[in-house]
This record gives sequence, structure tokens and C-alpha cells, in this order.
Amino acid sequence: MRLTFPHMGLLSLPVETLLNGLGHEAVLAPPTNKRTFELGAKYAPEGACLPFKINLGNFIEALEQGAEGILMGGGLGPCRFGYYAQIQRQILADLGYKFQLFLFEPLGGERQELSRTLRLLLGKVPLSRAAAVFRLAWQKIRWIDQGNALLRFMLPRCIDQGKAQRSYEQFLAAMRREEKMKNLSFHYRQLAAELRANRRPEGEPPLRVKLIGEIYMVLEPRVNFHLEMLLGEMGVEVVRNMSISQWLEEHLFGFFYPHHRRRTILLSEPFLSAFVGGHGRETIAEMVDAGVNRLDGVIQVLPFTCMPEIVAQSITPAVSAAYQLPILTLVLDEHSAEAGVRTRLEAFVDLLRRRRTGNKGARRVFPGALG
Amino acid sequence: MRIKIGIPRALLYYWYGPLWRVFLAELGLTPVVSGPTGKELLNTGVKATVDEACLPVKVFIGHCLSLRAQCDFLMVPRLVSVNKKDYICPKFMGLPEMTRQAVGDRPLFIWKSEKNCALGSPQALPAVLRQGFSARRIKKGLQKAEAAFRTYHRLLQEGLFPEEAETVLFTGAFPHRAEKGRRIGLIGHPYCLYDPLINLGTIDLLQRYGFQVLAPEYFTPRQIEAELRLLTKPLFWTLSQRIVGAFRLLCKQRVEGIIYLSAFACGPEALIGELVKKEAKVAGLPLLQLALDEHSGEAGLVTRIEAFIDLLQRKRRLSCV
Repeated sequence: MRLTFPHMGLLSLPVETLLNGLGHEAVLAPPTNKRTFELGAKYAPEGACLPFKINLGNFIEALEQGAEGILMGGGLGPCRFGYYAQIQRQILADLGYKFQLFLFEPLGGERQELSRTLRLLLGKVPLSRAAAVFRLAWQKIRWIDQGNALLRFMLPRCIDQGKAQRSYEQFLAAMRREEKMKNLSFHYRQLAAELRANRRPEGEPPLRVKLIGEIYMVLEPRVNFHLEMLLGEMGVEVVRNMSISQWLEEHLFGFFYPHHRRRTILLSEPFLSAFVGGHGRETIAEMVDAGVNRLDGVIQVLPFTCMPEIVAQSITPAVSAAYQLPILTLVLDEHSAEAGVRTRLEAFVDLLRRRRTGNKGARRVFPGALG
Repeated sequence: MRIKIGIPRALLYYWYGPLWRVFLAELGLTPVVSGPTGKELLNTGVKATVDEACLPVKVFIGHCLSLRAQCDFLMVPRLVSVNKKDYICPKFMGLPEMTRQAVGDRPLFIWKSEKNCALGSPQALPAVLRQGFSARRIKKGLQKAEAAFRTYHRLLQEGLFPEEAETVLFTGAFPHRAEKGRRIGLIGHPYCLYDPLINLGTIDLLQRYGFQVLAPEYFTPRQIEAELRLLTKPLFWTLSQRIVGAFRLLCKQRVEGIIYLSAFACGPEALIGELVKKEAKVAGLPLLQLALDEHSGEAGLVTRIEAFIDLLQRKRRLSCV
């Protein structure tokens, strides 16, 4: 079956491997672009959050390319994501598209939907082959996330940032094509070697800023205006714990990785002692983590009207005051423009620089000026 | 001196207010309920909250701030879920934290309701109360409170509005109500429908025009549950369930039209509104959807409602011919 799925950062790489390996055809929606925004904003309810609109745009563009089925996540609330698919199905059906919807519902929810999806996915190939494909996809996303983390670390420490970004693009392209598990680490090592060759002698350590917030907005560079690259180009190292592999560890394989949940609860307890849905609690936990580890600042990204993040945002001042931690909250929707985001980031980074130099006048230090 | 406990008249006070009031009074504490929402109260609330929060939350914070000087403790509910399998809304789950951020170090009474701990159980009570009073007294108080709660909801189902029902409950004076022929449905979250400032006098306006207003609280939970069986996936927000269920029941009851009051930036309503809109289209029922926020002006709202009523009248005339 020709299946499509929503984009979320680097998610398309392992999912494409998975679907093709399982004997289906993955129809990738074009990378999120201006038209995706327009389609989403046009057909989605006005007050829905940005991920809903972008997903809808992705679906429309993929269906135009001939997809027959849509794979989508489900949920049990209270975050709206759990009900996305139902509303999107209704909107797409109203627009006259013919498709089937397959949902990944958590075990506590609609078991029938989940088993239907699994039957579809696993129906074509023997189970041993399916297991091998799952392992390949899992290893792939782990290596990709590792490569991404390496790039975030190296970007502010590079001589030629353009070259570093190009090596990263090549790494992603190679990973996308790769079908052998043992070669995955080879690509990573190649990226590491290229980035290391590009590294400039260590000077003043770069600013370290943690990126937190709603997972879709954090992980999808085409929606958050390539925040990580922008910050990297400004000479800031972006730290982020959230990634697709980390999310899978926490939610899908939570049984094997109980420490993620324990850490979240432990860190967020003093400020937010209840689960608030979505990533609200994780946001506070990561914020506290940044404060404890003396990072220079935190940037919280959330889509407009995101309920859990608004709760987290209201608690932000308390965390900020407790750890003397500057926090920038970026609320994005389809009307946000890159110039506005860039200006705010620049101002924030300026503030962090001045803070580090101990408020000794308005000395502006740019990475280029250091040589 | 009796200890005063402040109860903000906002959010789900319109459901649980009598329960809280009766229980606290039963224990010998003095419940202090904040006054009806006013313009000034709203402004203080708006200033003390993050911009992105929805209007009802801002109103709640405003109420808390207005109570600050009048009480020893502030009662803030943490309503995670009141039914099995569904939630209220993430903002209700983090409400105590949001309030603490705005109110400062005023001690809070957190009355919670979670999946394994219902609102009427002793475990849900603030720990201070459980330590300060004997288990027997608490149990007795809860029984009385629940009786009051049931009476209150029965009154709501008879068609009274929360304010009237509360007067009936606490003073016994039954309001005089003339039966009116024309019926109009009003759906939305209880705190949007019944707060005089948030709804900008919609209920009064409709009654002045001679309509009998039917709200979701008019229906019993069982009726609403029966309507929801047809959904493709169960809704996991209690309040939205009530909106969708009440909408379907109102369709069946052949009301002339339905007005949907929603709060701007309300998460669940963004999606539920879409469901309701679609169903209204299929059923051919006139639906007016109004999004309210702190900038809504009464004049704008009144104009739109009057236009809607005109529309209903024209439809009625045409169908008579």
C-alpha cells in the first residue's frame, strides 16, 4: 500500500526505511514548505495548533502525490494530539480525498485501531524480516540523532559553518539510502571526521542554550525557522535532550528505560507536581536541568494555543528566578515570520553574552571577530 | 475566630460551588465566595497571567487576587479528571501552580480530583483538612455536601441557571419563571455560559427576546453519554463531551437555533467546534459560533446575536408560509 505520514524533523528517514522494508511504498510528502502552511491554515480550524495545520498540509500534499493510506499517531489526552486524526479525517473526507487512516493508538486506548494498523504493517513480510527492519530503523534514528547532536556541538566551534552544514546534509542523505545496519556507524564516523577537520582552535567557550518546549516545534526545523542553525551561526551551542529516539525510548519502550520518567518527575516536582499533558512537565524538568547545570539560557518554543506549554510557561518565572536563568519563550504560529524570530534570538543572545562578560559595558563579541 | 476560606467564583465553581460551600460550612469554616466578575477584576487577572492563557483562566486568577485580602486560605481545585478515562483540560491540571505564580505565597487549599481519587472522596481533600478534623466529621460533611450537590444539579436540569439554583439551595426562594414557547440552545463550557462578564449578558438578552434558553446543564450525564456512543473515537475531555452531547440532544429537541460561546484560544474547542459545525450543517440547524476574549465588546456581541435572532425569525416565517 502507498502510505504516507506526517513530517516531524528527522522522523521521515527511519519511517521511510521501515515502510519500504515491510513491503509497502512510502510516499513522502514534500518537505514542509510555504504551500503546506497555506493549505493547513486554509482548511484547519482557526484555533487549532500549528502542528495540526502542518500535518494536514502534509497529508493533502501527499494525497495529491498518490498516497492511499495515512499513518498517524493517537493518544489518550489531554493533549489535543490524541484527537488530531479524527478531525483531520473529517476535513480530508470533506475535501473529497479517498484514503484509509491507520492509527497508532497507545495500549490503553483503542486496541482495535492499533491491531488493525499492525496487521497492515506486518501483513506482507515474515515476522523475522519485520523484526530486522524494525531494528534497522531503530538503529538508524539513533545514529541520526547522534549525528545531529554532534553537529549542534560543533557548529559554533567550526571554521567554516557552511561546510559543516554541507557535511551534515551529506550524512543525512547517506543515512537515508543506507540499508545495512553495520554501515550506519561508518557514516557517523565520517561525519565526525569531517567536522573535526573543520574545527577551529578552542578559544572562549561558546554560549550554551537549551532548547525545550513542544516536541513538534522543537524538532521540526522547517517550522521553527531552523532555530538550531540560526543559533549555531550566532556562535551558540544548542543543547537539547528531546529527540525522536529519546521520545521513543520514553513512550514506546518506557518499560526498558524507566529512568526518563523518573528524572522528569524528580526534576519538575518542586515547581509542577502534576502531569499536565503533552510535554508540559518535561519542559519544566528540562528547564530545571538547565539551571542546575549552569547553562547560559533556555529557549522555550511552543505553538500558539498549546495547552500544556501554557501551563509550563506560567511557571517559567519561578524557575527563572530560582536558578537565575534567562528564558526566552517563542510562541509561533502560521503568521510568525523569520525576521521577527531572528531579531528576538539576536537580542537574547546579546543579553546572554553581556551577562557572561559580567555586565562590563555593552561589548559585543561576535564569533567571527575572535578569529 | 473562624478561619475564612476563599472560593473563586470562576471555572468549575458553576458545577461544584455548592459542594465546596456546604462542606466547608459543615466543618465550621467560613467559605468566602468572590463576587461576580467585574471589569476591574478581569483587568487584574489579565495583568497577572501569561498572555496565551484563555479568558476563563485569566478570570479565575482575577478572582483569586480579589480574594487575597479577605481570606486566610485560598481554595484552588486541581481537577485532573472527574470521570474515568477522560480529562478536564491541561490548564485545570496545572491550575494551582499557575495560581501560586500569580498570587504569591498565600497558602493554597488544593482540592484535587484524579482518576483514582474522585472529587467526593476524603483522599481528594487538602491534607490540612484531613489532619485537622476527625474522619467521621469529614465523612459526614462530605455526605451533606454531596446531597447539596445533587440537589443543585437537579435544579440545573430543571432549567434554572446556576445563580438561581444557588439561591434556591441556600435560601429556598424559588424564582418565578414564565413558560416560554420559543426555545434556543446555548452551548459552551459552563464557565463561559454563566459568567456574567464572559458571556456579556447573552442569557439575559435571549430571555428579553422571549426565548427559553437551554444549556448543556439541562441534560443529565446519562442522556449525554447515550449520544456520544456514535463518535468514531471517544472524546477525552469531559467538558467537550458535554458540548457535543448537548448539541445532539438540542438538535433532537428541535430548538430554533444554537449559539455556541467559546473562549478564544481554548484548546479542545478548536477541534470540537469543527465537529459541531459539521453536524449543524448536516442537520440544517442554524448555529452561531462566538469566540470570546478579554477584548470582546458587548455592542459587537449584541449586534451579532440580534442578527442571528432576525435570521431565526425569517426562517420561521418562511417555514410557516
